[in-house]
Amino acid sequence: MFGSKIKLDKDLLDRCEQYAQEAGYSSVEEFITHALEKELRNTRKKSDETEEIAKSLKGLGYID
Amino acid sequence: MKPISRREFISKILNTGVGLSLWPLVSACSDVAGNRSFHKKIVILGIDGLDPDLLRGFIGEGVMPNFQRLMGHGSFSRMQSSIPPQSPVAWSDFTVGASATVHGIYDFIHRDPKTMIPYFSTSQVLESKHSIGIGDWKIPLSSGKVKLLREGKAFWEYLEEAEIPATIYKMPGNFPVASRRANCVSGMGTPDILGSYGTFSFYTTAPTLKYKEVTGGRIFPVAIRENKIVSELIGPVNSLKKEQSNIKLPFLVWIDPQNNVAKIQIQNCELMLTPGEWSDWIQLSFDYLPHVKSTKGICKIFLKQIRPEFEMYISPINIDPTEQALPVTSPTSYGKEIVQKIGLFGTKGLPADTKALSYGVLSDEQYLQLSQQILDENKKALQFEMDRLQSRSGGVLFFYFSNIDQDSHMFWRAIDKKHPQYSSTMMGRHADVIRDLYVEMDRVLGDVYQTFDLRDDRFRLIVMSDHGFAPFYRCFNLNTWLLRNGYISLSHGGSEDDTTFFQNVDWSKSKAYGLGINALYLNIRGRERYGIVSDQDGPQLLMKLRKELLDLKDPVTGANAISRVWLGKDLFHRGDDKVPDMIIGWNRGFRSSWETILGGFPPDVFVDNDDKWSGDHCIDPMLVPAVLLSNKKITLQYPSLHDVTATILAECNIPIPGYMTGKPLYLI
Repeated sequence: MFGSKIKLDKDLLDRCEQYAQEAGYSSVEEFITHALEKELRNTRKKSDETEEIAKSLKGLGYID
Repeated sequence: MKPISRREFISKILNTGVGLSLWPLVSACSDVAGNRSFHKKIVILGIDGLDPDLLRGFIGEGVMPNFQRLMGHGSFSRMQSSIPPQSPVAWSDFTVGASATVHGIYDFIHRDPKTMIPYFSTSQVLESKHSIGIGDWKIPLSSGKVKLLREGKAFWEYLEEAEIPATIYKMPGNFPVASRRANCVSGMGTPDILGSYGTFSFYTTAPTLKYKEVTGGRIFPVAIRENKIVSELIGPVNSLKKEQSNIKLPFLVWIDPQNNVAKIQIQNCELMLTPGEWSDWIQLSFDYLPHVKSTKGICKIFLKQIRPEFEMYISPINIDPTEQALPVTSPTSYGKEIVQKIGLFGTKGLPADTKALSYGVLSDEQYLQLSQQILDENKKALQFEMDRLQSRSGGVLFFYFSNIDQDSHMFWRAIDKKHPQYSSTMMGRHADVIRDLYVEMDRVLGDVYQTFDLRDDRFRLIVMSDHGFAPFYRCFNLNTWLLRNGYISLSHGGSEDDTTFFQNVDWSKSKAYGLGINALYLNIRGRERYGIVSDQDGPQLLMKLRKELLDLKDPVTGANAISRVWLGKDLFHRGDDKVPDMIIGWNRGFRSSWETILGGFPPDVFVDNDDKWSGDHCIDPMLVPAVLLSNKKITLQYPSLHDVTATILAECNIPIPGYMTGKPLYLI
């Protein structure tokens, strides 16, 4: 599934495998892909949100 | 409920009826009869940024006879400001009669340690939890909420309980307003209708490069075709629409081909303006759901010029006080009452447009014209309130003026030859701007004397500021300094250029960060999401930082950038993850840079302040004391803001609660 290999700590990988199984993912790769996509979406959303907040605060005059 | 971004600020709550939910207890009539046995009249003029040294100097020049008279009749004293001396903190100190230990406001800007997202410290918007989608529309099912984050009991709540009539006009940090009996107008912290703290619109045929990218406003390129300009005014985000686009009001400008005049048509409003002319407030309606849901705003239009290039400024769209999208007066009927007496009035917390001046969208003269309009509006409102108080047997009136603060920020460069923005041309044209403002406030005091008798023992007059003023010559990039000294690490591949909001900070290797104007935080394990500093290591790290910061010298001037620092735990006794770990008292002439306040990393640690915003007060509070005058002799030595609060309660025969740290100013 992965285009290139990623090294993970053995303990983390074990926990990912266990969770993937419990949560019904078809494989650990599917779970990790899903988790990473979700995190990237959240990061992008947070970045947009923070940018908008910054814009609104700049009207105070104290910030540029 | 979870916090939401300012982008959705107005739209989320306008659609859910929050306005009504915030006023469950208010009476329909704002003129409360009150406690008939209370026969004292107390007027407190809150003049933001009134500086004791400048005031004494102008009094010495003989141009402020009314202040001189007040000094002669009662007292004039320097007053301790808050730590840090920022307006939301200082006025909150006054509001609750105690420090941030009680009110929880530490800086203009706070952050959520779990997300590092910054927000304005005194209010927050919480979105409604549930909505349903119908076609292109997203309909909220429950109310959102605007929340006042300033904690503690305001002094006027004690007055309400004692049934003493009170009016609190534009107290900073008092948005949204809610009161049982007092008449309140919200102050600093009140947003415009976009949910920002000021977003102007500027329309121009000039190459937009002239105005580059601005903050605090938007530049719109326009073209003239057949003597007409067609464009749009951007309103709030329509959160009822799934795609969340802004509501836009189209407008038309007709340019007279022969004469120097233009006709502006927007909604039902038609205006004829000549270059250099301001409109009055105009009322606009923004439709969320046509014929079902709309909200109202007010703005001013300034036709800057027609030829050779067309330039038109539209002020930030203020919340309409007659049909309030968010609670800007309490009760709501009070907003209409003021409008009936003095006409429409601005409601945005900080009314002057400092950003428009900083970017040259408004010239010095044009900025000052708007500033004068704001002052005139406030003078009318003050007279209305003084007349009301005079007609009663007793009561308390607090009235706030913003002009001296905002204009001292912008025109310090006109009185200080050492400022990088000073020029002899500037000196020639605007040398007296700040003095003239002080003289204007002296006239306001004269108006008070026309209404009340200074010698009447049942009349108490207090004139106060929240802090003084100082030059702002040099910017200090705190986060850049932390980065250079190993307290912050960037992620692999991250560059300093794109690190606004700490975007590329590697928190697993960063120990401290600056956010806000005077605040420094450690990256504490268990508090910050990716915190690494243990509770055991924190105190030692703070000691090290304190020493290094206090030793820090500006390589150009040789001066220390920081004159004092305080540890948050020593000042504020509450288990609150908002408490900064360190409050930085900038030395006179220095301040945190423009960019570092929100987590930016400009390349140099020290830079000249080249902004027209040339004076400041967010420094060591010992260097910018406030002012206190009263028509009764003040016996307390070097009083504080808390003492004024205690005095108001004492004058009203209300016991001073134990948590208040102030003492009455006068001997009985």
